[in-house]
Amino acid sequence: MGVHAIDRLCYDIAHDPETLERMRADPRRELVHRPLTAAERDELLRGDVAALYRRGAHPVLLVRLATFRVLGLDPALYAARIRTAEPRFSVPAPPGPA
Amino acid sequence: MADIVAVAGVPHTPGFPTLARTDTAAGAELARRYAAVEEVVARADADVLVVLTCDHINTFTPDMWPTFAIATGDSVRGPNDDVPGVSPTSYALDGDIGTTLHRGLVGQDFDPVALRGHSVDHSVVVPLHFLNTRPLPVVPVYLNGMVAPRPSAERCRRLGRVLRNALEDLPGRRVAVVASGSFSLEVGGPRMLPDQLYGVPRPSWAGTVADRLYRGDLDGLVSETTERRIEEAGTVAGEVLPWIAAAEMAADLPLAHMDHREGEGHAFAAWGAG
Repeated sequence: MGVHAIDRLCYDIAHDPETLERMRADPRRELVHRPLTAAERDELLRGDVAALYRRGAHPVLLVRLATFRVLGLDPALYAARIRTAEPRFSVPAPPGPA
Repeated sequence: MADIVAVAGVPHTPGFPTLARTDTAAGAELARRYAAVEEVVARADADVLVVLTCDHINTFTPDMWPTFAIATGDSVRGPNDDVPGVSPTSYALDGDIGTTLHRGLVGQDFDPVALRGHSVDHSVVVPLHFLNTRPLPVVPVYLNGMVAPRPSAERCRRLGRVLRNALEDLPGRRVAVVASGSFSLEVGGPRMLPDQLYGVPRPSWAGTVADRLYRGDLDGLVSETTERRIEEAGTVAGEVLPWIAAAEMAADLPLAHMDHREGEGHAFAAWGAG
């Protein structure tokens, strides 16, 4: 459920004004009501987008934390942090020279 | 049978409508690049515009994510996300054509979601802003280029073929088709540029796609467009899939315009009367 709940939170921030308002006013309280693990909540509250990406959160959704400026993030900070992660692929590279 | 009178492909960067209006060399150049495609579409004198695109998890949610979908309603609102300089408005759809295409797809073993009511994001609104100046009624068709597992390039090509064949049930109609999106583009992922919310991880792949389209080598493009290659080209590089479907729909048209520049992740292209 965790990764999906992260994706859903990011979607709601962009499409539900009340979620956005709650995330700006008291993110800790909003996250308690969502089906996240303690580690996921901690990463969200720290704005650790690289960790959230490594868990499998969709980057097109994750970036909305920056564009909507929640959890202490802005575009520059988001970019600096996400760039520390290794790119993720759903399928392995084909055999042969890289 | 309906005629496919023009096929086009353009990027849909949300900032482009505003940039194209600015009194700068870059703005004027961008406006010219879209206008060159619009000219081919306008000359074709179409009466409906089919837009092949990928939703960016705005129209659909993380809870409901289709591989294919098609609009069968009569109007749609958009953008449902941020497109600077373009206010939300209502766009007329051609529900009859959407319904006919839906029936044709199901009859050929595609199972798209049929959308009676929905909203559209920048992937539809930006192409309409630049290309649908008359304006014509629209039929958005969605292909999943955004979330793994994506449909294969071959399947997307076949979708284009089935859409083309389904138009046989629409005598007298003049159909223009627009593919929307980029070939290499990272949004939100680690290969973003340090000071931007995007990056172009594989400009060489974008050049390859443009070259295959230019040469009419759709077999080659389809065989090279693997899930892995898409993901290496960026988090939204699956937007090449609507281009492949559109190129198949353009099978009977000559290429009239191809504008790809080295280093860019996208192209501006049109098939039709030159």
